[in-house]
Amino acid sequence: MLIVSDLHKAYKQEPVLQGVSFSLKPAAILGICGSNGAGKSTLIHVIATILPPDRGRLSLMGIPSARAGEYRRLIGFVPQNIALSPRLTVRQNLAFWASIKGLAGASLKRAVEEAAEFANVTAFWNKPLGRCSGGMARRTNLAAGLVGSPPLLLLDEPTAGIDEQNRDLILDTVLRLKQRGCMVLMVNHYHQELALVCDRIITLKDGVIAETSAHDC
Amino acid sequence: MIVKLLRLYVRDSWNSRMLAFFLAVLLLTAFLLWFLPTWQPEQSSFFTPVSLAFVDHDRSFISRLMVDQFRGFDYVASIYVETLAEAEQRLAQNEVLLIIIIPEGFYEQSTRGQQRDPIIVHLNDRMPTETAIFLRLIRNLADSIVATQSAFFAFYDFLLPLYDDGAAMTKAVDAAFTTLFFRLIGRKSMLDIAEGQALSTTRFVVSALLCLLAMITALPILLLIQQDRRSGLQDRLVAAHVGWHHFFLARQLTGLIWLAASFVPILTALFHLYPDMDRLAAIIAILTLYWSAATLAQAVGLIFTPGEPVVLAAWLGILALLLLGGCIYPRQLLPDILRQIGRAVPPAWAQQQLYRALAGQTSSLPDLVLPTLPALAAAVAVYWGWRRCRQSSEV
Repeated sequence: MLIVSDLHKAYKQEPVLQGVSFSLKPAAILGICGSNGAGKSTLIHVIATILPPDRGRLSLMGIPSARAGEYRRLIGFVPQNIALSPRLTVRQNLAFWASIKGLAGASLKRAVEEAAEFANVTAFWNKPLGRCSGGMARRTNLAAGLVGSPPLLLLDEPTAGIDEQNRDLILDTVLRLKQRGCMVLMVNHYHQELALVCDRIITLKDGVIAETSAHDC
Repeated sequence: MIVKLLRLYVRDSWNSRMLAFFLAVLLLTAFLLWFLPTWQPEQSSFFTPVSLAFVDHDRSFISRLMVDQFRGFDYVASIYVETLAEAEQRLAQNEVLLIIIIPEGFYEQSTRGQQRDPIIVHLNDRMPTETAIFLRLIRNLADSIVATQSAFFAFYDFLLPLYDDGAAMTKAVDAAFTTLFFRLIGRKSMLDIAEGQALSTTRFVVSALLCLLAMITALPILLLIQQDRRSGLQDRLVAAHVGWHHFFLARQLTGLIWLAASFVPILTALFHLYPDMDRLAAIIAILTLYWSAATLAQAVGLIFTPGEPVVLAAWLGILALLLLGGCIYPRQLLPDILRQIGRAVPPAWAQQQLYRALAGQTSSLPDLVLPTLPALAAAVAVYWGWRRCRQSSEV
């Protein structure tokens, strides 16, 4: 379970998050919605421990974020941009992320294959990422976050700028993650898109939770 | 972790720009191999022989002697003795360096100890350096005539019995002293030039070039950081528990691999051209300069928002450091304030060490260790930049 309690974050005295609290159970998808500057990306970066909070507490499966090494091992972070090497093939990229997570040998190979199959990227996994289409690169970006099957997946606008077919493939992957018992926290500009997959959607406004809505997916 | 990042960075940074850089280094190496053995800048002269015009109103034996002696100098091509109008025309046409006008009665007035009319010199403002050198020569000449007269009057009573009359003696002594003066100048025996301390153009150019190459290798690291920050790779790696020191070392080592790859051919060529070169000192100087520049590039990459202006500023920064370090102009020619500042910049030490190493002079341990101090300072800046980056991500 992910517990976010009273998170505060400010950039140069300008508050971005002002007391955000929520929790997320296993096998659930939480959507975070809001307009530009609402604090969505900051929130996901704080949960990923990329940014330190000014105040508040975070814990994942009973492990506080202060124990960064253990906490981070439980997270798969998928940033908004394609944070992969364009010169490596899809498979090499996934292998790199598996090795970063401490995997090696047969377990690395297995983890790479699992993530690739789960995210539907096996068809082009010998292709250098730089030669892949935008949709393929997005799916590979997601696959890299899935390597090692982390219990919590943080997705920062995973469907930004891609066609409908690839978007559906990504959303389908997200739904299957829920079936696997994974916790998914997904940030998106569009409430409608989140409603397709999320159990609950939080709308952020000026750094506070303005609205929470439940959905049946 | 560092090895994994290093492999990723080496593959990521191997692109067309890097290939172009290596080709440029290879071309430079080939050029050095071809050019350096034949280049002898010590044989080139600072200025070509010049011409002078004399307007001799005195027409004494001493004025004629002056003209004759000037004619004997290596660096005087020709001397025109003519009227002032002709000389002025020649000066206007840039044919002569200057006009020397010897006034009427110059010698008579000198020997009698009277207030004499001055020698007038018309200058050519199109040749300021050469004119300044000749002016100094003429002032020395005037001083020597005064000295000649002093010596002459001091021994006048003792020397007089040796001559038929006073006028003959004065003439003989003046001629002797003046001839002696010109001969001394002509043979350059009055100038003691310590050639051993003279700047070697070849070694200066080669050492400056090595500094430039070592510093340029730091630029791909800046680009690498900008790319990592833009793509979110850095954030993603942080979320995967990769520490700042992993990034720092992996990026430094990536640059080090490119540095080694580019310097192997050029150093091999230099070891061949300079067999007496202190190889260890040269390698240490290059490594410390690279390490400092790369650390600085990392600090800049982390502190400033990624973008083209930062890369441009980094280029200008490299040029400024090279200038302060005496790699563009010799430090001795820089204004005093820049020379003082230049003492603290890594290229100054590196260039000095390389210059000495090329001559086969060994460096002391402090000379080799000192350049690591800016690298340490820059490493602190990298850590500060990293913290700043983490506090205010570009989300």
